[in-house]
Amino acid sequence: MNNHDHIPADIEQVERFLRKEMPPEEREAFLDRLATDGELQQVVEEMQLLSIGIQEAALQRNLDQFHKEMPALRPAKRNVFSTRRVAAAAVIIVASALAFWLLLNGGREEKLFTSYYQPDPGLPTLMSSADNYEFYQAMVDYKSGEYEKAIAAWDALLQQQPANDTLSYYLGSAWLANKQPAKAITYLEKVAANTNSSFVQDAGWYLALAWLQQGDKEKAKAALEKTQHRRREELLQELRR
Amino acid sequence: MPSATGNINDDLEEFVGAIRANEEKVLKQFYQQNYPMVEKFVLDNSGTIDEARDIYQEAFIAVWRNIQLGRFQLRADSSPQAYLFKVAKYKWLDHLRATKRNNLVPLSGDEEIEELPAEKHGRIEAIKSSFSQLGESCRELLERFYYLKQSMRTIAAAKKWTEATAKNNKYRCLQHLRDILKNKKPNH
Repeated sequence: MNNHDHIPADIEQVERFLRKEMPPEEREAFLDRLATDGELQQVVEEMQLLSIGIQEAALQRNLDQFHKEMPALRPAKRNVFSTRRVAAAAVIIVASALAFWLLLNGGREEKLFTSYYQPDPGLPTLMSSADNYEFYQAMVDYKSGEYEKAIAAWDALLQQQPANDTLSYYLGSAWLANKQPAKAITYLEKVAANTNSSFVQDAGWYLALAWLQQGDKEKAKAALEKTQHRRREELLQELRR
Repeated sequence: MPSATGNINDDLEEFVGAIRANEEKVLKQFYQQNYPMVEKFVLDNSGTIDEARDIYQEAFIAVWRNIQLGRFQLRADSSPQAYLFKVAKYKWLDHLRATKRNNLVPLSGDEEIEELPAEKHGRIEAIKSSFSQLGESCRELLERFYYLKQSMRTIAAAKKWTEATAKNNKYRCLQHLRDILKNKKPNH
């Protein structure tokens, strides 16, 4: 590389314009010229597209990295004997034992509920930002099984944003996890009926499970029939037996 | 907070500014916080995890591009999170329709998203592909200037060049990129 290139003045000026580095007077004069100068319009468009293309190439590489560093959405393959895995295994053993006990002793709806119910895993909470702080703090409580704390925080937020489907969905999930299906149903019904919500399928699934826990097989079936959840057919077949 | 019905917040303008400036922390948060919802949606609608990732990155870049070009309108009934989800959802349903998979959810008019004209989109894709053919030093220089928004003075200091050399080198790299583009697409 050497120092002997001639850089067209227009290009430098266009770049200062695109980077918003022009003082107001110069910018105004430039905009006046741009309105009538077709050649300049072409240079601006070309430089803008070059800038976007170069940035997107860099961004794409960063997105791949962000994805690799994503907080785990599902259990990762890690050290078999880590404390967390041992704790998780203990929870599963206790839950399975409880499920088995209920299968022997509970009603059919309750048995099905126990076989099929797993609490929604919640959203990743590592990357909270200031404006979402309360929401994600409550998500930490939810994931730790502190359902009442999560419910109190999300309930307060829902007062401010009554149409927020994320809040309604997680309030329903938290009430259900807290073994209060009647309260869960009021929130889940709202989300399951909102076809614009990204939670619509899961809300329908948990709504059906909440009705099952209430012992109402018919309402559970009706909720299942409206959802496209991947386990819908499996549970519907059980309910039709 | 991820929501299809969230409200505009005081930090929205700051957020848009940070995305325009490619602030890594903000981009990473925005990317990682919103992916799970899109993955759920794609998996619930006949997709795989790999497809969820691809469609999400495509949507993320489309949203980023619209923010860069000032095409994302700040509205009281919208939020960047909802906008990103909407774009991803639209792209996935469009993909399902194109591949004619089962369980198609019909697209309603309000789910359509505004995208760049195909001709401009094609030019940007050609630029990206040509950029990958540049030498490493040119790629670094152009990325520092355009993506990291570094000044020529900062770049010159980092590379131990004079500012004039940095400017000339950047111009030469840009010319090289244009040459690759011309050879690739004689009509442009």
